[in-house]
Order: sequence, then C-alpha cells, then structure tokens
Amino acid sequence: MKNFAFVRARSVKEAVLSLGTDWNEAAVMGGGTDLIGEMKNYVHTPNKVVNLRAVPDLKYIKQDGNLIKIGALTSIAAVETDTLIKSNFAALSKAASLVASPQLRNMGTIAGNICQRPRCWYYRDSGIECLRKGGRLCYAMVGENKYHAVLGGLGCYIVHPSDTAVSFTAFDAKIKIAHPDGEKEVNIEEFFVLPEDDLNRENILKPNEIVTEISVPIPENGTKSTFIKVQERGVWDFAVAGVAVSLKLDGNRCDKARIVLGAAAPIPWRSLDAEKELEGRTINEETAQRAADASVYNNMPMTGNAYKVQLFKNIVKRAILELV
Amino acid sequence: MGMAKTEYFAKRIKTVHEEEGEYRIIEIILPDREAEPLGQDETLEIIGKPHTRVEALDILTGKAKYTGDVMLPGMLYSRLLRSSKARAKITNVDVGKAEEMPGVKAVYVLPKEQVNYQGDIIAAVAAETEDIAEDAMRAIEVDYEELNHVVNVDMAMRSNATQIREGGNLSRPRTSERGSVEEGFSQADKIVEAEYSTQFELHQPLETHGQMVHWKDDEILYYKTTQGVQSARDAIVRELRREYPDENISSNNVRVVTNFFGGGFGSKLGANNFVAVTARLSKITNAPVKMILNRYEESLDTGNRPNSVQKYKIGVKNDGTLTAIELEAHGSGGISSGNDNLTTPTNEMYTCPNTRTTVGSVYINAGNKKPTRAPGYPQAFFGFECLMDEAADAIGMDPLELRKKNYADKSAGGTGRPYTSNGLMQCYEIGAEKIGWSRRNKTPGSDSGVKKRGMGMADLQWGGGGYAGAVIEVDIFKDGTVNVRNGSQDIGTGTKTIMAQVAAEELGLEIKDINVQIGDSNFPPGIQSGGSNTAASVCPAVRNGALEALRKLYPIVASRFNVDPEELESVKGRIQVKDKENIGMYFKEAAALMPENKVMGEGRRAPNPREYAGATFGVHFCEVEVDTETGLVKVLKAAAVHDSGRIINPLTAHNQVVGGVNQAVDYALTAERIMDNYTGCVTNPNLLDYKVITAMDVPEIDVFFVDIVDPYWNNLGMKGLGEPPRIALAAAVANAIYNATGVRFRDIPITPDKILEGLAARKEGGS
Repeated sequence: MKNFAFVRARSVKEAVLSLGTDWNEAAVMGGGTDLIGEMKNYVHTPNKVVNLRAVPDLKYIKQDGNLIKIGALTSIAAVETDTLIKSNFAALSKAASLVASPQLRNMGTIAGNICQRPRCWYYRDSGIECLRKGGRLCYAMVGENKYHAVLGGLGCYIVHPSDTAVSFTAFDAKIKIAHPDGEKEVNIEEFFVLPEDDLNRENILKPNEIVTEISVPIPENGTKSTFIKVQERGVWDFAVAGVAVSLKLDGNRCDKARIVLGAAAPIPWRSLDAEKELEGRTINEETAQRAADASVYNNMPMTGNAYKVQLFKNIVKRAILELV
Repeated sequence: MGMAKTEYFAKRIKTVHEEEGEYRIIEIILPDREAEPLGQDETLEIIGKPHTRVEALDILTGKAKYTGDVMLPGMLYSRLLRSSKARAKITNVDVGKAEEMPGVKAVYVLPKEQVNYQGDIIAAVAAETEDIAEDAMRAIEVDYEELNHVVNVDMAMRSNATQIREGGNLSRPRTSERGSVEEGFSQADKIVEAEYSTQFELHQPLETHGQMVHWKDDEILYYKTTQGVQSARDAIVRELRREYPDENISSNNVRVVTNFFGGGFGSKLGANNFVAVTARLSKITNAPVKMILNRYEESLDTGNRPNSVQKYKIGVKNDGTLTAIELEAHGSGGISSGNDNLTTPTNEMYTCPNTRTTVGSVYINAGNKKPTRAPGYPQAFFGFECLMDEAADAIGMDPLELRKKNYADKSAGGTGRPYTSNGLMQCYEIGAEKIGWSRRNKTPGSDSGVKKRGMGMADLQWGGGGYAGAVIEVDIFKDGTVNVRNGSQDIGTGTKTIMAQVAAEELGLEIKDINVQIGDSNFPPGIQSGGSNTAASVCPAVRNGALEALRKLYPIVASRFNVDPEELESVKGRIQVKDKENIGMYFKEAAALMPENKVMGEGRRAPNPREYAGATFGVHFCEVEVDTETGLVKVLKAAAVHDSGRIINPLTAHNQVVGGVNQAVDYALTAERIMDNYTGCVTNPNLLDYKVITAMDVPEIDVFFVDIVDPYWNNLGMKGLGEPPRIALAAAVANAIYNATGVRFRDIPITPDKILEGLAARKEGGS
C-alpha cells in the first residue's frame, strides 16, 4: 500500500475541510472495507485518508416523526438487526443481512455501503486503464462480462454493487450530504448517476462531500416489502442479480409499487415500467409476470450476460408473489 | 570365516516408483527385516482409533510458526516485479528510482528478454520493510514491446493463431490403444458420443507460497512452504549451482525447513520459480531475506489445474457390458508444461477390452500448470463418469447397476495384474444406502416445482499410494523417550500424528511418548507429499524402524530374565515375555539400563508387490437442489465412501474426505480461472472473484471407509487417501443435476448462466 497521511477527523466539518477538491489527493474512510482493498490493490492511491470513526453522533437509528434516520457510520449489521427497520423496511433489513459476510457487516458502514466503488474486475485491476479510471476503453464490452450491466450502461457497463442501496431506492430514501459550506439533502434517485452523466463516479458526491445520514419515510399502512439476492455462493459474494420490491396493498390489489433492480445497471435500477404494470391491479401470477417482463424493458445484454435478463424476470416475479 | 558379501552389503532391489501418474524404475535398499503384516482381525490399541493432530493446540493457539511467521535478526523483505503483459519483449528495465529509495538494500533484474504470461517475474527487490519493498518494486520502470498473445485454448488451436512458442501451440498428441475399438463398437447395441469440458482451476491454499532464505558462509538455509523439503533441496542445489558455478553449493550445506504448512494441493511440490532470486538477494545483502507471495501472485504464478476438452465414444450392450471406449482429448498446462494424464478412467476403471485414447496439449500465454490434487483425475472422471451416466440412460439401466456390471478386479480394464484389493462393491452398497439411492427420480426431471431435486453418483480410482524409499530413524533415549525422525513433511493431513500412532503401537507406548520430527531436509530420506504417497510410504517404515530399535533394546531385558530376545514383546509400556506380564519390566526401566544414551532403529519400507496392481477406490453419491428460476445449485448431501485400505486415524481421514468433497463442490459449481482475451490477464486473481465455496455452501457430508485391510500392499495394509476424495464429486453433481432437471450439463463449473441457458434451450426444444 502506498504511504499516506492519516487524518482522524473529530467533526464532520473537519472531515470535509480535510478532504479537499482532488479525488486523488484524499479519500474518506468509514469502515474501510472497500477503501483499504482498493488501496492495497493500488486501484486508488490517495495521499491522505480521512477517517470518520472518531466523528461523534454519526452512529444511530432513530425515529423522527414520519422518518427513520440512519447515521452514516451505523454498521450494516446494526441495520440488519434493528427492530424499527425490520418492522418498517423488511427489504432493507433483508438486503443488509445478505451483504458480504458477518465480519464485513460488522466493520462496514451503511453510508460506505451505498458509496462503494464498482466491483468490475477491469476497474479493480490496477494494471488496466479503463474508461471509468480515465482510460479510453470499457474492457468489459469486448471482454468477460457475465456479471456486467444489462441496463443503463452506456460506455461503461459496471453494475452498482450495493445491496442496501437497492432497498433504499425502493423506500424513497433521502441522502444528507455535508460539504464545506453546510449540508444538503437529495432524493436517492438523484444521488446515483449513470455513466452517461458521469463516467468516473457512481454518485453526485464531490471530493469534499460526505454522506452523513440516510433517512427513510415510514411506509403507508399496508405496505409490504422484500428483497431477493442471487449470489453464486452462500456468503461473501456480490449479487449476480438482486431486486427490492415494496408494494402498498389493499387485499391483493396493489395501490403503489416500487420495483428496483440490483446488479442490473450502473445504479440501483428503478423500473417504472414494472411498477406501472402492478399499480391499480390485483397481484396474481399473470400481473406479476407482466411486471417481471416489463422490469427489464430496453435491456441491452452483451456477449456473456444475456442470462441475466431472464434471471431478473424470474426473481422480480418471485419477489412480487412473495408479498401476496 | 568372513561374512558373505550379500549379508555384509545392504540388499538392493529394483521397484516401480509411481508419482503423479508417472512411473519409473528405481533401486531401493530392502529392509533387513520386515514387520509381520497386520491383518484384518488384528487387535490394535492406537492404530485405527481417532486422534486429534499432535500439533493441533500449537496451531490453534498461534504457537505454531509457519514460514511466514519466521523472523530472523537483520532480515529483509522482498517483493517481485511481475509482468503486467501476457507476452512482450522487455526493451529496458530502469531500476534507478527504486534503488534510490531509503531502506532499499538490493534490486535485481532477471536476465530475461521476453515475458510470456501475466505474472512472469522480471525483477526483485529487498528492503527493510515489506511496504518499502512494494513501493520500490512499483518504482521500477519496464519498457515493453508488446507481442501478440493467446490465452484462450480454442483460439490457440486455430490454424491462423499466433504461434507463441517454437514448435507451435500444439504438442503431438499421445495415443495408446488396447484391443480393437472398431471391433468393440461393432459389438455394441448402443453407442453414445459426448463432449465434456472442464475449467482451469487454481490451488488457492490458505497459506500462500513463500520462503525465508539466509545465505551464510557455510550454509544456505531455506524456511520454505514446500511439500517436499528434500526434493526442494535437490532442486535448489541444482538451480543455485547453475547460477553460481563458483560457489560451494551442495546437498550438505543447503538446508530446507518446513515446520508448519498451510496447504499446497500440489502447487508447492518442487522448488518453484523464485527460489534462486531470493537466495541471490540474500547473498547480495548478506542478510536473511523473506519473500511471501500475496494472493494476486498466488493466483497468477504458482500453478493451476489444466483445463480439458474430452470427446468420448462408448459402446455398450443392452445388458450393460462395455465393448469399447474411445477418448480424444486436449488441455493446456499454460506456457511450457504439457497436459495432465486424462486416460485413467477410460483405460482402468471398468472392465473393457477395447480402448483408444489420444491426448494432446495446447500452449497458451498463462502460468504453468502444477500437479493439482489428483492431477488429471477430476477432469477425466468428470467427463467419463458423466459418460457412464449417459450410457446407462441410453440402455435404460440404473447408473449404479451399470458400474457394478463392469466392476474390474484386475488393472488395465480387467486385462492386467489383479488388484491387491478393490472394495468398490462394498462402497456401492454403503453409499447407495446412505444417500437413499432408491428415492431418486426414476425419470430425470420429473421432480415437480421450481426447486428440483435429484441424485447422482460417480466412481473414483487413484494409485495405491506409497512406495519404498523412506528411511525412518527411531531413537529410544536412555530416559525412555522416543524420537521418530524423517525428512518428510506434514502437508496438513496429519502425517506427524499417524507416524506417532504407528510408532506408539509398535513400541507399546502412548502417542504422548513419541516426538515426531519431520520437515527438515537434513533428516533421513523422506517422501514428498504428493500422489497420496506419504502415509503409506512412511508408516510401514515406521513399524520397521520401531522394531529395529526394539531389537537393540531387547537383549538388555532378555539377559536379565535369561530368555531369548525373540520371545519379548513391548506392550502397554512394558517389555515382557510374550503373553507373560510377570516376566518383564517397564519400558522406561529397560531404557535406563542401556549402556548408550540412545539406540537408533533404521526403518525401511518393503517395495510394493510386483505381481499385483495397487489402487484406491471409492464412490461419491450426492443429492442436489436446482433452483430453476435462479440457476443456483445447492449440493444438499454427499455420501463419500472410500476403499483406502486400513485407516490409521479415522479422524484425520474423515477431514481429508470432507476437504476433498468441498473442493469438488466448487470445482463443479463456482470456481474457475477466467482470462481476458484482449489484455491476456486473469480477471479474477483473488478469493472474492475466484469463487472457492464458503461455509454456507458446504453440504451435509457422510464419510465412510470400507476399511478393508489390504492383504499385499504393505505391512499395515494401508493405501493412500490424500487425492481420492477430490476426484468423483463433480461428475456426481452433474449427474444429479441431470436427474433433477432432465438437462445434461457437460461443461463445469455449472454456474447459473449455464443452468438458465440450458433450461431455456430445452424449453425451446420442446422436449
């Protein structure tokens, strides 16, 4: 690992001021489970690491009116086991429970989880200058792409690696961001960005901005949710495909639907077409199938990942039917 | 009258030596006296009973020092610069920046004009810390002139492919034939043809390769991760002599030590390609130099199991009689090694007079193969045992019955020497009962629902294990303690423990009384841990060594009681007249009477019998569940039944089988080295993307040994066990998936993409 200066920030303000405006200069660290790996592999070689662990009051799960607020440094394990989250956001609790391994869920933070860098193996190879790292070519496009994007890739075909971000998107979460001049809050769908908007980053954060809180509105009565992750081994694996479904139900009639695909696209992929197929309709085998088919509308598979299209259809349908 | 020459000189005999599927004739010294074979009904105190490994506590408490834990005063750390290109000329290597870095003690550039795979070693650095060494390594600037590379086996075989080596990308295939396959096929009622393929597999031992080298004036000391301290020593001597023709480098001043070992699976046989460069750094800096590979290097350049493509044609009569088998296969061992042996199941497993095999190898720009736990066998048995399933299907026979029908009691498909023992029939019976074979789908794919269950099975065979050549020194000290020394090493299977068991049994002592010393090349001739040979080579010699030591002790006791030493036995801590407890003394008392401070017994192993063939056998059954919507396959249960002769330690033997089954699960379902054609690089040189299975994927595993004491193979009736558990399960899994879904998957690993595409293709086909 390249030598670096280590800053133990005592406040959010100190952290964002220490970070500066150059991605290559400084990196922010929560649990470190992703950053340290990147640094050890020389994928990212910052001169300075700003550690947030000593910043007080960033570790909490609390109710504030209609919102459940989760502090940035809250461990993924805490999100997995918290009863407020379990009772209100089953899909989030389940997604958290399927992240990586128990050790990594203990170390990893919830903000770090949604801000992970891509797992694309070309991106993770320090010897390869891919498009996302400022190079000229997406190697996945012509190479080994069985885990890559079938939706939303344009130029770069990474998939967003976070399981919890998929569920957060299904619950209309808001992301609070601190920057040197104060703070702002954005809708989670505005937080993640596609390659067509920014080839080098997966979200809107600037080098001197950090996520401080994720807040999630408590769903209306009658809302049920679930999360499915397909991973090739039982633990410590990223999703081949994932889906979070949240439905507001009146009996078997669906009033409101959120269907978000994970590991499908460079961002958590909300499928409006699938949601439309369900809203106002009774959930049954047939409507579930229609929504499943619609969920991958406009897909563009490459040489090795066409199977994911059928896989997404299968798990979207399974997730929908699980809720009725 | 002088002693007759033949008695004065050690008796030597020629014997067949088998290792990693290669046979050669060696000459060995016969044991002076061979211990009486222990038969099936022998009552034994310690052999055959479960014992935890003697070093278990040291390992669990961290007291055990593995190679990476060794620290020497003044030691330096080393890193290797490796090629990022798959094939390139090296036009310039600039070490200026690296050499100037504070803490850097030496930078050495290998005399190499061209690199031929990603990970090929270019230069080495020694520095005060590992981080400085890493930074310095990365500061070396290499100018490459890139050449066309080929990393894909199919592409390497095309006629217009870039030829990456002199002599071309293809080797001349090796053909062997027995009987007449043409005639055999003409007698068949059904002929089945199928093609199977297997992936490149990486060893991925928990402990990566490494060594600490200290080149002092009078000794070159290696602490090394090796499966053969003495074979590594010999290779190191050869290599260093070549590099340093003027130095005194000999077997008596190069010493290799492996105290604890974290897994090798074949990749740590021999000396590895970085032994000399570490020694050079030690010589330049006059300091001990430690070099431990990281997981990236481990994945690129420490060996692999070759891939395979196997085209079979098998003829079978309606009653199940096999009439002919033909195999045409190829695979790649990377840049300079040939292919593994893929012919065993075709030629050996079942009675069949007519076989023809043609096996070629293909060269690509990737790291060399190394023997990988049962080299060639998991590949070949995957193909062949799936073929047997398809043949059974073609004649409408139970796959288990087809195998029983073709049971071979002689080698070479029933045409060669008789086996010393073959317990397959017992294995079948136990395995079928444990898995519940009668519950399987009679019609493949008939299990209803989204998650479909099915059962499969596959046979295995491996060499008998063990050969003559090891020499065991058994020391009885005056205080009654015992040392057992040998230049073998414990690859992790529990070699030390079974040696202690056998010595304790023979000496009438307890395991705690025996101190086994292995893992040092200066000890008496050992066996390298490969080919499932160590246990069955060493243990019979331990018996002879213990007897030899006792023969030096007995006269002291015999004279006290005025009996013939031949009448004595050593049991339960006492040396006494056979079956007469009251005429004798405690072992410790006898030892205290010795005039010397210790007596030494030298134990050798008799050669394997010439008139018989030796082999281990087994069968693996499994039940799987296929999620037809996600393509995920879960191995629910495996029943692994083995004939490995007498089992010395059922606990470590059990662990051996569990480990083999687990490795076979990821071989069948998840693990594969993936290479990128365009860059020539491995895309998954880490344990996240190279998917060895996790605890969550481990099936319920029932392990059984038929425990048939082999009547001829050696004085303990034991056979090998290291590799056999790794051989059969992938085929059993594929056969079970067929039984569950009705769709054949002939290419491993059987990942979700293949399952989903296979199921979709069948749907479209309408069958």
